[in-house]
Amino acid sequence: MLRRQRISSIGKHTLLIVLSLIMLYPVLWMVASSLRPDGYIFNNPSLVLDTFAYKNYTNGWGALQQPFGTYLLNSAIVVVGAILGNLISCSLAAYAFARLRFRFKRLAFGAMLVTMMLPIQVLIIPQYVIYAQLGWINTFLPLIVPKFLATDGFFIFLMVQFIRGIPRELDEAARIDGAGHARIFLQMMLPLMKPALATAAIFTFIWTWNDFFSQLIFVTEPDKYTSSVALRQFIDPTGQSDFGGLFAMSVVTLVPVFLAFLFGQRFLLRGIATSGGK
Amino acid sequence: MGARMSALSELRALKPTKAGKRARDKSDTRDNKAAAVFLAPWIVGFVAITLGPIVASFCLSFTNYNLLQNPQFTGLTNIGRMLQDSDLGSSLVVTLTYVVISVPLQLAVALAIAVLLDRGMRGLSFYRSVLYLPSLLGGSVAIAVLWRLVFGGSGLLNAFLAMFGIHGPSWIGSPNTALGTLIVLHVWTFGAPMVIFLAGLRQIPPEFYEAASTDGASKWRQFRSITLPLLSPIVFFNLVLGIIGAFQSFTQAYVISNGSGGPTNSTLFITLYLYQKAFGSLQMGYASAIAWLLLLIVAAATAINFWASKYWVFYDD
Amino acid sequence: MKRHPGSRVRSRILTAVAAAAASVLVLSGCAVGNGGSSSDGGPQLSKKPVTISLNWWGAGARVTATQDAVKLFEKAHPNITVKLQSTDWGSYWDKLATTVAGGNAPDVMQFDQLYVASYAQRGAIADLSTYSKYLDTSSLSKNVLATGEYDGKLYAVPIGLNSMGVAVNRTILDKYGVELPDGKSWTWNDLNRVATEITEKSDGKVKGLDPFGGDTPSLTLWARQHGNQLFDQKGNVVLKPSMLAGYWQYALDQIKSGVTPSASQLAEGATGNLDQSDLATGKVAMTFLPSNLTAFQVAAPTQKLDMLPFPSAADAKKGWQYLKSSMYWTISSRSKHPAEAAELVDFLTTDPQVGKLFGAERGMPANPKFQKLIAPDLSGSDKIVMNYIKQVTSESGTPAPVTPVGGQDADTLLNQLWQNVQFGKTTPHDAAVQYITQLKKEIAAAK
Repeated sequence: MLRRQRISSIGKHTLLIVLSLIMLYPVLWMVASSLRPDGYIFNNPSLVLDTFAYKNYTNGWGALQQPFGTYLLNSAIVVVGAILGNLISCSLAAYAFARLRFRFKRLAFGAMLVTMMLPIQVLIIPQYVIYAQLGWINTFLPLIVPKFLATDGFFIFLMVQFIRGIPRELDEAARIDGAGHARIFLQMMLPLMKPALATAAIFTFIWTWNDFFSQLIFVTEPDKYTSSVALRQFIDPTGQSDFGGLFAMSVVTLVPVFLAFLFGQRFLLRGIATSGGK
Repeated sequence: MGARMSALSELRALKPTKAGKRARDKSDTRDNKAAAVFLAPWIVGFVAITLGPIVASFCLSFTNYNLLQNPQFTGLTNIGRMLQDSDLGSSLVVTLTYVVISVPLQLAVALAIAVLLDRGMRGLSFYRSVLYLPSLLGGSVAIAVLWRLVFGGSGLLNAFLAMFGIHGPSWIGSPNTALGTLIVLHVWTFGAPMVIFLAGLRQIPPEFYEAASTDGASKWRQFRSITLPLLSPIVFFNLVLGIIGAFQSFTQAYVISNGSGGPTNSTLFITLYLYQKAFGSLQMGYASAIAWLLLLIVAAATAINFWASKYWVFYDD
Repeated sequence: MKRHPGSRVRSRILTAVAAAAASVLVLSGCAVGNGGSSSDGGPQLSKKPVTISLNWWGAGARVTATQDAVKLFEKAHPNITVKLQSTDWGSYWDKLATTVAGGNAPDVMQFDQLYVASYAQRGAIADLSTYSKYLDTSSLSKNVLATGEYDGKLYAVPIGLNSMGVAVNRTILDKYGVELPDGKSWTWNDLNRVATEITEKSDGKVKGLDPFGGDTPSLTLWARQHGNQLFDQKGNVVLKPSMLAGYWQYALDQIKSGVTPSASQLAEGATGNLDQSDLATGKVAMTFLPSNLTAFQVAAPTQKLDMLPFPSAADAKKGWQYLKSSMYWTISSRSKHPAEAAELVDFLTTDPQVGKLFGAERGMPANPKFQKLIAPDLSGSDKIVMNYIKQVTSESGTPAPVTPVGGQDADTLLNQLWQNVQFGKTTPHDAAVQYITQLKKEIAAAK
């Protein structure tokens, strides 16, 4: 019995290790290729490096009209704005849905849930028209302002679930001490919500950093491109390609996501798996 | 993800019952003022960024609008055009194929691996992290670009095959396989549903399995009779949300086909076609009609899912 | 008190929804970017510091040339700053459409022949005669200027001229001992002969050529050789389906006989980059090019590239050759500084320093003065292109009519259907009929 278990355990581990390797291979190949001179990248599946072609990184950095750092900075601006916006507006809305009693609460909550499932394509054209009328096209405003208006229903919901886990007795105690909703929210609820806020922040970071569609549409001037849109520029049929540089800059744009994953794993995994419950 | 999962159960619970309607109390409105303050950002956002645009795009569907001149009301012309548009037909076939294949496939792999990862297994958190990472990277332009280079004529895959003497074609250049590369990409991101399944599996009391093995049930039988039914709500919600997400897929198809949806429309997702019409040809009215078509399809798919759920989803409440 | 959660509440909600929708509709009902456009009296140069923007497509050498040219302009006009934007061809037109509609189009824009009429008709680009005070187009010949006109008015200033020809890799042909025909012209049979020879002699390592099939310039030349054309002067589609079918059949036969890369390789290559192109990497020996040979030569420095004219049918009608404007400068109709924009265009098209900087990179200069200026200093691929254009000029007939309004998707549609033909999803004849029908529909819809 024990021997059978051990064999099946070895088998399992082998399978999982092979699977992990296959899953990560493309990414590892990308990193390896970013350190190879252009001519050695294709038709070359190995991860072994003969040389360290750091030049790919410097070339790729300067390959587009602006140093790549400009595009990274643009992404960073959008991401920071989005995180701030989400944390503020979603926590406010979540508090209302979780703790307050008001007319149309059911309707509003249902509406919020439905918006989580709407395809963005059905909204984008009129949104574009509105922003154009406001003169916001080619600024970062269309990417940041909606976050301050609690349009990410997912995070509202995440926080509502979290708040529901906080005993109402704490609210009662605070109210007896004479606190109104504002004080309860700011001084009691928010500090207790830190894990949910951290989860929301990290998910916002990753999703916004990776976002492409809305960044493509709302930012039209090349200097203002975010890293996602700038990266796509490397594939240009009328220009010269620099595959080494392309790989290098791809790695660069993925590093922040990877770091968020490393440091925020706890929140990510817990956030998606357990914040729901049934 | 788990949040979305119970979001759906909340939606189900929102259906007002007769008793509920009567029981509305005055105290249910005592926080009206506070709520107005806390919800102010959300209300503005909902009206200006969601509700308004949705109604506006519905109306725009019946116009010709190129952004430079005022919209011209054209009645049902756009709908007539949609019925004759062979490119639209291709994009529907492509999108449906993609959704029908990639979503169940991804969930099946996620479930299989989750079951494989026993609780208390050594290295569990390592494997879980490693297998989860691709799902974080998968939505990015960098990975889409990488995919072009992995499945290109002289890409990584062909380099591997060359070691065995197989000369592979350009996978992204062949109409028969281009969509396949996108499906593979979606399956590659199975890590996120896998984590959810793991959490769900953890909630199944081990006593069930113990009792079953004492009764002589095989592992497969246990899976079919214990695991699947108990996990079915989670599978269901992952399915619903996976389908909704897959219908909206854009970035990967755009980057891998360089915006063309080719070769020969084999990667022309409906979102890509919509983008071409809206921002390429500046036919905003027609694009709005297509967007509404997408919305209706997604709604229909969700409704079908909910209807079908009563046949295979097992709730213990 | 009993609550009736009925009509009153519901009607309140409905009013709110209606109000929201109405306000959005009003906003979207307005034409975007419909701000005050033209002012009375011609535009004047401002004495205050002014910033204008210039955009173009094309990377590499074109970027540095443009940057240097603009620096010279800024020196000559110290109060004007020019912001530069360049993107790739693929996203150029998407971006242009939305920036024009969004009201923040660049002041000076590089343009292509496909789009001039459409944008002019929509009022997105300016009638350049209103800026004649600053923009001098007298050096350009009437024929050349005509290619930038719509409805009798000039909307786009031609920058350069080119003509579809065949770029050949002499190094590879010499290596395998394949000879090109002597003289200044060759036939379609000659092309097939060379392609077959190189494919056989290299054991398939080097294919003959990348076939044509998806671009209207080569289609127009083919049609003209047989007495037909794509558009007529009035903007109607006059192409015969048999003509298009024959054009595609020729290329399809080449693919089938193995002298070209496979259809899927061509599909991938179509969305790739210049120095990964089949010509630059030595995968093929020849390819059709609108004479931008220099860009490819730079991408393949170890190979010697040459330029041959478009092959002709043995019984081709005389004068089938013609020079096409490679690209134009236009000015946005909503530019806030049209006078300064006009000055910039004038500088770029008439200042000799710019002529030297741009060389032949954007095509053979449309300005004859530029042509004379750069001729003595040309070397390498630039010289080859210059001689090539000279030859074409001597054989040219009347230029082909410009793409009419609504025809801007002519190339995309052609390429799409050509792909269907390549992969066997439709026959050349059926695809030809489909192309002509759809193109006619799009042009009719735009009227």
